[in-house]
Amino acid sequence: MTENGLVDLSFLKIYSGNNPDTIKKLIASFLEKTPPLVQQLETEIASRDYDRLSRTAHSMKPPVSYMGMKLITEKIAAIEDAARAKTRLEILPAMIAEVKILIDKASDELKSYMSQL
Amino acid sequence: MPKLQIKNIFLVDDDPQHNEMLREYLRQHYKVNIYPFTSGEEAVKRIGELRPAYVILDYYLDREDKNAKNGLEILKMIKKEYPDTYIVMLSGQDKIDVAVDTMKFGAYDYVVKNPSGFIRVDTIMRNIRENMKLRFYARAYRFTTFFLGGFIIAIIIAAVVLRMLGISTDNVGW
Repeated sequence: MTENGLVDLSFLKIYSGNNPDTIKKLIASFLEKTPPLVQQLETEIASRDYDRLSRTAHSMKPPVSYMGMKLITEKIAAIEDAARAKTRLEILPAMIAEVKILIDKASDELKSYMSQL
Repeated sequence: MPKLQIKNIFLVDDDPQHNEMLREYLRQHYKVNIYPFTSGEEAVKRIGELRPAYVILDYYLDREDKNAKNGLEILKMIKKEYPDTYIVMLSGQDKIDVAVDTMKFGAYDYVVKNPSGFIRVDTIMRNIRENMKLRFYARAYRFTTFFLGGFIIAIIIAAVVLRMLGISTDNVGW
């Protein structure tokens, strides 16, 4: 969407046939459903439930990738892998915190895009 | 058992949004009846009645219900009862061992849930249709060959019998 942004809506445009209503609907759904998942990651890392954490990260990947958030998708995949293999556990909280910040930034980009549609 | 219905597709994913996106995508490309399910158990309950030719099945199905059967278990259940169903597994994991596992239990193909996944599903569905068409032609060819072979053998037997009974001779026209 933007030159140096976190979001690239090329897929949504192709998928929707460049229909602004469909794009808006999908972005709105993403904005509604993603923050609770990030919160879930935080809860699961706090309770050290690594299996659930890995599954939550896993379920976040498709919607994040559809919004063209390549960097965030990679970071979420790293969280999923680390939680599943129970490795790098000491840096998992920092990885989740970073994803939260990036998703907040990307969400702002999406909101600004939506307001222009 | 009811016949396989080429126009029926099951989408099984515990993420309703993904189901909806895929349903919309397929609706734009095919004139088919699409049945979305958020659990594998629900899909298994309806499969005998609707006999979908294709089932697009997510690998993980326990997001809401922790005790729900996962995609691999559902795959095995469907393949056991309805081995002619084409099952395409979906997953957010780009892992070769997961893909191999699903294929080992009879999945037709494995698709990673990412933007190119939609195109992959589309291509796979076209391949399956082509595959079904070829299987139909092969059956028709086998039937025709069998029928013609039988017909020729019947003519030969009839000729031999007629010859033995003296009804036919070598002196045609005399």
